[in-house]
Amino acid sequence: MTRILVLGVETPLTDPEAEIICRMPKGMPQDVSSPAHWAVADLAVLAAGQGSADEGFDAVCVGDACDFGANALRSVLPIPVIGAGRAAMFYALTLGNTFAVQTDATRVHRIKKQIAEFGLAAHCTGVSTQVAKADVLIAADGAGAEIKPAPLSVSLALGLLGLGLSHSARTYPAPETPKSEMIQALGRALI
Amino acid sequence: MARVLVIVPFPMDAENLDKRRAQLRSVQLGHGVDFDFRPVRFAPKGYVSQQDSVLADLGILEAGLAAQDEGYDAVCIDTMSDSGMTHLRAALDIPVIGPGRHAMLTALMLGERFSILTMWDKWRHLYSKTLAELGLANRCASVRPAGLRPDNQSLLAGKEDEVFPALLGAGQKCIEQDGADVIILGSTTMHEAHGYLAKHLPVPVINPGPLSYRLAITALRLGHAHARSAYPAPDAAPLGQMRALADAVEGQE
Repeated sequence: MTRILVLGVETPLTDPEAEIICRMPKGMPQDVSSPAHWAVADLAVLAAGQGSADEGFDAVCVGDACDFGANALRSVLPIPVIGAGRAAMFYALTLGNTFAVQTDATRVHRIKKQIAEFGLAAHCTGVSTQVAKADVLIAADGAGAEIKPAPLSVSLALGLLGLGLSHSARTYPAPETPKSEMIQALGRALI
Repeated sequence: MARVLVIVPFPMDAENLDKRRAQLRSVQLGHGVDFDFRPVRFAPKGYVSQQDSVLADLGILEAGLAAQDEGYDAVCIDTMSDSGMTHLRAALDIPVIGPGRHAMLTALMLGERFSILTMWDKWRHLYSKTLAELGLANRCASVRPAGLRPDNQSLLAGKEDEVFPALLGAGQKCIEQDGADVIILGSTTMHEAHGYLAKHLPVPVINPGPLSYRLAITALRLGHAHARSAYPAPDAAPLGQMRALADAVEGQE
């Protein structure tokens, strides 16, 4: 049975093809409204997931649409890592030409930054706590709209595994000097 | 049991249809979904001009227009051109998956820039159209042809010694010269080379046909379909008209 680790999601997820373990990273900040919180969030997710391949997982999903730590995990793990936010935005464009993101107020700034990084500003009609007009609505908190990023990330992870695909090592090169022990110690120090 | 219709974009006999169906062996699909492969009744000879695009759109539309009424739960189109996808999405409520659009967006889930590795340069316009529609041309590192003439019936069989090294050489240039993080095979007819290329190239290589099957499963499991606002429905699906067109030309070379 395929085993998938989902980080940053409290609600249990199920899929007929896989055993899914949901884990909240220790020390994950509740408030991510400011970039000042983001480095800690990156660290918390990285520390929680960096050992996932050794734990026997086949893939990792960062279930929070903010994708904290997802790029860093991609650089250190030999298994597919899916950032639910990135995946949901590109996936949304398979269904329509524009998308909007509905989220809580603390995530708005972060998600706008992601959209700019992904080069998708022209496709996004809005990021807000309100439902915006668009072809496709992404519900970053997973409630009540067309695309729920965390379950989508699990399905896409299974798809990648079924196709023998993973993220590109050219985009996410491995560090010359892995610092897993330092990251583990930093993660333990988070409160 | 869910049923997915895979529309093959050329008329063909059972033996050649099996070569298309062989794409199912390249992906773990899980249980509970059946894939039926259906060739179109008419098509252009190749996909090298805008004339061909019109004929391809019509042939694929005709082949899939009744899919929902026939009990299918999703449609996959077995061509990177995505011919007929927009038209079928307008007419159907079930998911319609075009490998071109989906492969490009999936590539950007895996890396920052992708190349399209293709058989020959005459298919370039197919990719340019989708890249322009998506507004993602700046994320395409290159469209790199291998200088090979495709055969949409027998595919690559018997030509492996010539074709595989040529594709590998062009794929290496996609990475080393063009800066691709991910490579997309430029045609579903290239699927027989996927295993070889994936083994020898140091970046993810997307096999667009099998990818479309997995994304059909994702859409079905999560209850997703294309947005009606992006694909407005016609007042009435032109099934009778399409059938009449096919009846008029079926069997013509």
